[in-house]
Amino acid sequence: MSRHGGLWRDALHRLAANRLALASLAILVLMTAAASLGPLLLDYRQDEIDWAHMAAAPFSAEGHWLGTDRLGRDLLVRTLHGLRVSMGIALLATLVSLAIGVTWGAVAGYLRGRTDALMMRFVDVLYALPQVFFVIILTVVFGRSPATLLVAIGAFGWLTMARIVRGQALALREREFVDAAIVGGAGTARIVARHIIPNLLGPVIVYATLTVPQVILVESFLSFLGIGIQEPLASLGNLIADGATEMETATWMLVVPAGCLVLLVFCFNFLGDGLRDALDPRDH
Amino acid sequence: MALLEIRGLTVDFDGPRRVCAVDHVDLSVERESCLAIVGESGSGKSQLLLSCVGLLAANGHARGSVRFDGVELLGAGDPAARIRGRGIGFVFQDASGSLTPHRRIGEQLAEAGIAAGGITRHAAIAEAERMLTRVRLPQARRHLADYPHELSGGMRQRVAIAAALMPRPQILFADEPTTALDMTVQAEIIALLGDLSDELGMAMLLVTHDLGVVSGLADHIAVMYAGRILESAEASRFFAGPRHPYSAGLLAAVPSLDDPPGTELRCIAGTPPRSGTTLPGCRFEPRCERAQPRCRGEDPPFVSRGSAGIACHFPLYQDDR
Repeated sequence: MSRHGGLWRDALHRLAANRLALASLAILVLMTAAASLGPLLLDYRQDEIDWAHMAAAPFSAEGHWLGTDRLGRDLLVRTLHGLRVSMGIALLATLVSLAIGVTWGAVAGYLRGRTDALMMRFVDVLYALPQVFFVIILTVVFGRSPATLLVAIGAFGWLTMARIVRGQALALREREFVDAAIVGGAGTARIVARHIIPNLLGPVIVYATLTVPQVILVESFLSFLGIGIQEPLASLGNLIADGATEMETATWMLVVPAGCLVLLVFCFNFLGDGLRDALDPRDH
Repeated sequence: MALLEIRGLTVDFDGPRRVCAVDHVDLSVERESCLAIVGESGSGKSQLLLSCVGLLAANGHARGSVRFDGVELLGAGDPAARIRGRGIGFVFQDASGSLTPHRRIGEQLAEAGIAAGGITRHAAIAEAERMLTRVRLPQARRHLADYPHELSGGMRQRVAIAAALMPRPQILFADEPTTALDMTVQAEIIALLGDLSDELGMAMLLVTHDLGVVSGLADHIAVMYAGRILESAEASRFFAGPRHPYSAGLLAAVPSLDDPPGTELRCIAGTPPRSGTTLPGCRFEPRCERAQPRCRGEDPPFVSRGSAGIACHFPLYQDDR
């Protein structure tokens, strides 16, 4: 156990010693920067058609570094846009699942008894609904847009988080510092906010970093099926779907967005693993 | 009127067998005085303390009456919560457990002050630093930014005491506050508790199994055995001459520095009755050297006279000194 600094500083030190996690973090920062700034710096818009270069291979045409698709749209720009949409949805959905899941689970676990049973049965009911079916209904009713997709993913994303947090809260509420807070006159809301939630942030942060790639995969899967993000908007999912139809003649149309997705998911998983090791108090 | 009045307090636990941990206990703590409850493990002393502040496990039930400053604490809803914050401080056996591991000490102390109410965040942090100085934590300001795991066990117990004192309680409950510490630190913490209760004009209810711990600190001693109070007396009279055979046995079991080397440690033969068993007679009778046939058939009632009381048919002294 380190004599210097707090729990979080210790965790950062241990994370910094994990090369794989650190490299993943660096790549993620680069990808985020590229996705948010890249499209502004490049010469083409995502739906701009270059009639002179259709289905051009990478580096074969001036200005199209990663080639174009069969409508002559720049693949690099479209991939960066897709990355932006996919990561945006993933981060927002993860934040939503954090906010709802942590509060829901912590309250249920702390209060126990009937409240806990009612709250967790509600979670069970939502678990039982098939997600794809739910998304289809939503898109039929509200139309296909990133916002609908976000609501659809967010509505399910918090369920597992709530279960994890409830389990942690059940264990934490038996600890003596909760008794100490009760004797000190603290109310339920204060105890949950100040004593339960801060102590379960470790597992929560780790699970959140593992949720991000899950959501990206779900988004890509739904877009691939044609019920997610629609043309001309790009997402990693529909770029891969497009690329898959051309994979025999223009491999790069599949390889570029798919490689991007693989890299993204790998990086988040490695970072999540690294965080889990760094935040586990048993490793102190 | 005493600050804390416990009358006929009984604590039961539901389960496969119904277990009675505390059995019709009467106690009172005067303002600015210290009552020590002494007993073996399993005698119900901790449950007695926990039931007063409503921290019994879910299957535990407390009956009887616990009045703090005239306010009934048992079965009370919200008023009890407020009394707990401002009026009663609680120090637990294991200080590492009673501090939140992921938050800085300064924040936790301030939080304890704010939870009790009537104080701003800024004032609470200043008060936290004063309180850490008061519990003799060196370089109090520096430790405000520490996490509990960065302190030693003795320092953590000091911080836990400071946290319990933040709302300026009128009485401090301490549940074996020194058992998790080593001997030298124990003495320091006990001295600290004594000093603090004098400085702050605070009463104390101390639970321990160590008579040595309480000898210098307590004004009043209550001996607990298998859920009952067997003897209660002023500390000076208790140490001069205990009246109950069990008290005498406990005192005789304390090793003395004056004993010649090689002296065998004295102990009370036998073990306490298993929880859940009920004897028709005195619950100490199976282990008592002075037991008579009457002790087996008839449970001696707790007879109090003035500030002293005893539950024994054949006390070592009659109370006419």
